[in-house]
Amino acid sequence: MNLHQFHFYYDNLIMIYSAFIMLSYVVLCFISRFSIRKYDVNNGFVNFEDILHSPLAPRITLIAPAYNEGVTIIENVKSLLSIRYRKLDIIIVNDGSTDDTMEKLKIAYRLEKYRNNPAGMLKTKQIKGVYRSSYITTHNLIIIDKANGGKSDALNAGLNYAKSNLVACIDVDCILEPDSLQKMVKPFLESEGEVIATGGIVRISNSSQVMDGHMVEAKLPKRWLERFQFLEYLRAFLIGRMAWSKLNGLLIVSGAFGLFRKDIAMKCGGYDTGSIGEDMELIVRMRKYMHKLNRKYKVVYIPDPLCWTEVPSNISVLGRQRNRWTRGLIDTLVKHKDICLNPKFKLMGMLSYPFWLFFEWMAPLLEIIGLTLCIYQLLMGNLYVENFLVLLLFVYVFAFALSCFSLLQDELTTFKYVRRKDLLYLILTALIEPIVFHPMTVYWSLRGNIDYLKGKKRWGEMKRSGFKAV
Amino acid sequence: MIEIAIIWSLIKLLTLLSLGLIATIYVLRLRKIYLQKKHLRIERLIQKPLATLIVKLADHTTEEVSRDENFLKIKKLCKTNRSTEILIRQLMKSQNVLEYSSLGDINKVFLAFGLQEYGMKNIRHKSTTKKIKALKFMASMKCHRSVPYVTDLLNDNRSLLRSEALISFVSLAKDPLYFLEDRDVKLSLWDQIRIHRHLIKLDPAKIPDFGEWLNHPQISVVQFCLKMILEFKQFRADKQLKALLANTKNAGIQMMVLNIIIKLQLVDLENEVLLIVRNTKNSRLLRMAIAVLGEIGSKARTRLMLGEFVFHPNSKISQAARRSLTTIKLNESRLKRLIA
Repeated sequence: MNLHQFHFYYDNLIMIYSAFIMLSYVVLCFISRFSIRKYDVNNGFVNFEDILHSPLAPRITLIAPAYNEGVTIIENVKSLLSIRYRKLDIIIVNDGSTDDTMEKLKIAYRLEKYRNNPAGMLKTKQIKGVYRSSYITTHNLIIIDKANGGKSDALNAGLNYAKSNLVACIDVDCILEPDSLQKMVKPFLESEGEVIATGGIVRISNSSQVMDGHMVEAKLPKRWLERFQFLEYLRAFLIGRMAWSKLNGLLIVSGAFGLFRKDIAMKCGGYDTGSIGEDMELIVRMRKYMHKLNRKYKVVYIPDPLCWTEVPSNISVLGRQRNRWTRGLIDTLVKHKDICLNPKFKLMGMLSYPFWLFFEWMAPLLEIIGLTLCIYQLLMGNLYVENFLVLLLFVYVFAFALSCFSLLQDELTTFKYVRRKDLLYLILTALIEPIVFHPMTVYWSLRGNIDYLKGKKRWGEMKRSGFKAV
Repeated sequence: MIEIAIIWSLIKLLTLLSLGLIATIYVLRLRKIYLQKKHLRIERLIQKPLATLIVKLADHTTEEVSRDENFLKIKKLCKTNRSTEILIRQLMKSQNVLEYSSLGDINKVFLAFGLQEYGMKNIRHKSTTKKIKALKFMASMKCHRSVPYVTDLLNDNRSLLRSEALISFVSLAKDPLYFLEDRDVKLSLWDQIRIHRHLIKLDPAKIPDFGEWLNHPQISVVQFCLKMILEFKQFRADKQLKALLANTKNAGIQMMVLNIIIKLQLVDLENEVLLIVRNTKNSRLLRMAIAVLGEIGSKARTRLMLGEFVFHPNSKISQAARRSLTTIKLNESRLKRLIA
């Protein structure tokens, strides 16, 4: 087969592939709309205060690993303590921070030794000490000080000390909505043991105002890089996750905020300390476990914005984050390759896994190969420039339409960004994003693939500027 | 290869779609703002005459003229469904805020504006949303006439509606737990939480005997009743608890009963606890039963019974036995002698 023939076949293959990917997104859009509509009908009349005041509501343990979070730790813990839930324990795991995280916690909450033994037996790095706040009002705050072992290891340490069967694993720098746990726990209450995990929409807090750990005013980020991510998050959560949740094919609950059944997570061996994409890996393992037991189960996503997180505001940090996400995705897909097209795993094997494999992992790679071939053809004078540009325009308009749909979804669900100017900025962001931001994500994805092949396992540093307090 | 003309048409279509989506967002936003303003305006207009009506309806010195004026004002405002809904919401809010003596007046307003008929009509409506709103309203207004309709909805196909009807039934029916006559009814934890929230609002004299339902075939119902026995401290349920403990093989239920025994100090159930200690093979249940025995058991029998568990090969069980023996104040030296 000569290069010309290869190009011909590749063109057709890409055409079919693109048609499939676009079609799948259109289907996901419809399903997500249906899913959110159903959620609104089911929860429009719900008084979540019922959960707050009920002695029958289950206990929840919130686990938040912290590594060198000295700048924001007190503000973050304040936020966690302000969550409105009756039976709540909060475990902060100091994962061997080299800054003043532990000292700040010790002073702020006058920590005293916590004498209870761990309930779980997951292996972790050495625990230096377990403390509890000596103030009566914050007596539910437990601090685990341990040697550095990474996020998964810290979460496992937290799981060991959690006493409740429901555990919420969150990033310590996240700001949770006060009623977030009430909303997250509801699917567990409604189902008879079927729900194994729930996740909520994660929103971007850059430029927003925070007071005493509460989000006071949600604002659209000021920097373009943050705005691109804002739009990306909207698409991912309000279309992808909601649709997969409806199909019960979700393979990921965001590591930023997820609620799990501890018994299932423990039986699966807890978080995999060798994995970079620990959040996705655990969900896949929990699903596999339920399949093996042949028990009905659900992983549910909630379209309400429950958690606010700060996203990287400079390119190098963002690049490292995306690189890690790509490696995490490949790592999980490779580790659980037995699921792929395996009818034993039903929808997860026949649809979810192939979607992640072909459309999430391979899409950026195929994009790069296609672009390289196009440049080669252009140099050789074989490229129909007009056709090529029309196709590019088509992809661009499709991406814009998808962003517009996610903006509509947002308008229908939350209505958090009241200013008209914000909406204009978001539309402008949707117009620029495919040209400016998308190529960057493709590049980072390629770097992630290369780094994975090289065996790179590091997380990469994430600098925080802290929330803008009022 | 696909015709470029088709791609062009798709581009045009997607562009139009995107513009349509943006337009929809703006229209929705404007509509939302307009409705919010309208809602606030009607609410403000209704509030004052309604407050006057509710407060002064029972006041015989009030001039008939002003009462009629206020009545007509509200009647004029509430011509559409939207404004009627606002009036309903206002009434429900007032009911939560006002004292018990004013509730009768709210009911008079409820009847005077024909809201009872409105609610009944909506309960029979096809739309789930309307039905739910009406169910909530009728329950809040204590409209007992709606009970037959509510009862019909207890068997509806839509789980959401079924659950809402259940809650309304608890608020309205003379016997709030009568729906448990249905042997197939299951209660999710969410239903249990909501029923409990309604039960605590009831007059204490109307709280049903949960012990009567402990022989229900559905475990979720039994679990709920056990939780309620503990919550409402129904000591009178001891006979039914005794029977349940004797009949059930479900370790979870047995542990719940043991928890009630320990918390309500139901010493009369000592024999049943002893039976569990003797017969069970479930180590968690055994540990709990040993602990209960330590709390409520008579000294002599407990000592005799638990003496053999002090040497149990399962360290957790032997520890529980030792703790229980300490609870019944078996002093250190006697405990050592017993162990020896």
